[in-house]
Amino acid sequence: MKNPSLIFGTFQCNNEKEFSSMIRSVYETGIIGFDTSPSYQTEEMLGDALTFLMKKENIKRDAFFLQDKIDGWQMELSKGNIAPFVEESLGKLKTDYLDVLFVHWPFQEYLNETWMTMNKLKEKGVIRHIGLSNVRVRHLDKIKNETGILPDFIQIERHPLRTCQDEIDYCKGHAIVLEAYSPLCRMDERLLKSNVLKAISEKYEKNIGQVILRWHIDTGVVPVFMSKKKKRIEENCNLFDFSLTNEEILEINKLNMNFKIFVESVCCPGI
Amino acid sequence: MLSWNLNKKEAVGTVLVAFFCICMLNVVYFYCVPSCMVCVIGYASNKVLRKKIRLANKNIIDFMNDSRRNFDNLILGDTRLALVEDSSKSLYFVHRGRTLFASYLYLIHYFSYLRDDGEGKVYVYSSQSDEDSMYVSIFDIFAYHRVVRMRLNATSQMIDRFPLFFYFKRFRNIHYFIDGRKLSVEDRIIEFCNLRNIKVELIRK
Repeated sequence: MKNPSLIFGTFQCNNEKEFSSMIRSVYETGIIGFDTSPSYQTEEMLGDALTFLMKKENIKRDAFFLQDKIDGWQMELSKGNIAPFVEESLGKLKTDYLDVLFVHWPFQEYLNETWMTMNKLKEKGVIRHIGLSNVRVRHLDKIKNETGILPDFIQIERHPLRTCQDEIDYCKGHAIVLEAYSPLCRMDERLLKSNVLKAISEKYEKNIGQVILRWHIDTGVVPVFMSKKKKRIEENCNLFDFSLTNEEILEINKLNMNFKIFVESVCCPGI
Repeated sequence: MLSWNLNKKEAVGTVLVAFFCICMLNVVYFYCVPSCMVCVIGYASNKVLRKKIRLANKNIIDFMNDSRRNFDNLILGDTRLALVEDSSKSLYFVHRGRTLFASYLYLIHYFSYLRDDGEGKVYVYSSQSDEDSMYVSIFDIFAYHRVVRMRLNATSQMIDRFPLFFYFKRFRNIHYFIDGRKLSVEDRIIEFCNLRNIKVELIRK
């Protein structure tokens, strides 16, 4: 299955009433990639919503691209033997395999053990690809040196205020797919007021969010976005009738100021 | 004869009731009143302690709603010794009597708030020797991540609700560091900062 160019994230959307119709809207706009995590508490709802969709539309599991994560507390509790937690997640998602399983935060203790377990699950076919989330180049080098296994995917916070060029270059050099969460930086004021983004959005008659998402795609990154509004979901998928020039990409890159919404060390002490 | 018997029974009954009331008053006075007082004092002290803990961690940033990042300095350790000039570009996590181990844990939690161009600097103030400092106090525990609290055996909800019971507790885990290396906390702080391109100054007195 081809990797999707857009993925729908489910962080902070755990309203049961809205969830199923939201997933349906997402699917209808052409998105097939879905991202969840035990800590988002959306696994079960996502499993239910996709099962319902599969029955109603008569579509198979492989029409979707489903990715989940292993949380730090699971690594700590199991000392890296995370297989039972994966089983539990598969049960909640009502599927027998995951397209990608990420280590949510690279807690140094038990990371290698977790990584080896994930690799075994990949060999068994329970996981199609393994990934690391919230990592930098030094983490990738370290895991490569210590286990000899690089991830197939990484997922990091990336947006114009944090362009992560080192990680992009590393991933290109090692054939790793890079996904960006918080791709719009929650529409930070500094982005909304940016003259660069305003000018580009006027040129292409798109909104600033669409320009930023296109910037991700044009730099080889898969954005993982979330919106509860149907109109916004549709807008965010309407990106494939234009592309940015190299100059425009470089201008957007200049907005970088190393701003992270999710402060890494607070979410993962000792990262 | 009958009325005499009745009067006698009434009198005995009255005496018994009076005796019972006196006993109850005794119980109330010597047990319930002090118990209630202990509860009220305990409740108030717990509330005061929770306020003090909040105050000790007042500089924790709610990163979802507060965009402050890229600080020049991260200042950790024992307040009595923290003498760095105040600056809006410094982030403080200092508290009286904070151990070096507790400061190490603050460091690994909050270093990402520093600028990452190699110019960020950490100051760690401590007045205790490594041997004495492998614990954290109730004032520190609330600033730590769930996984770190798991390692310190401090995940009980009792700790969050009734910190007063844990006022004298020293949260520790002799197996906290699982890498098997016999490094002092001071060496770990230096190594940690060097690996992340952060300047560090340890000030011990």
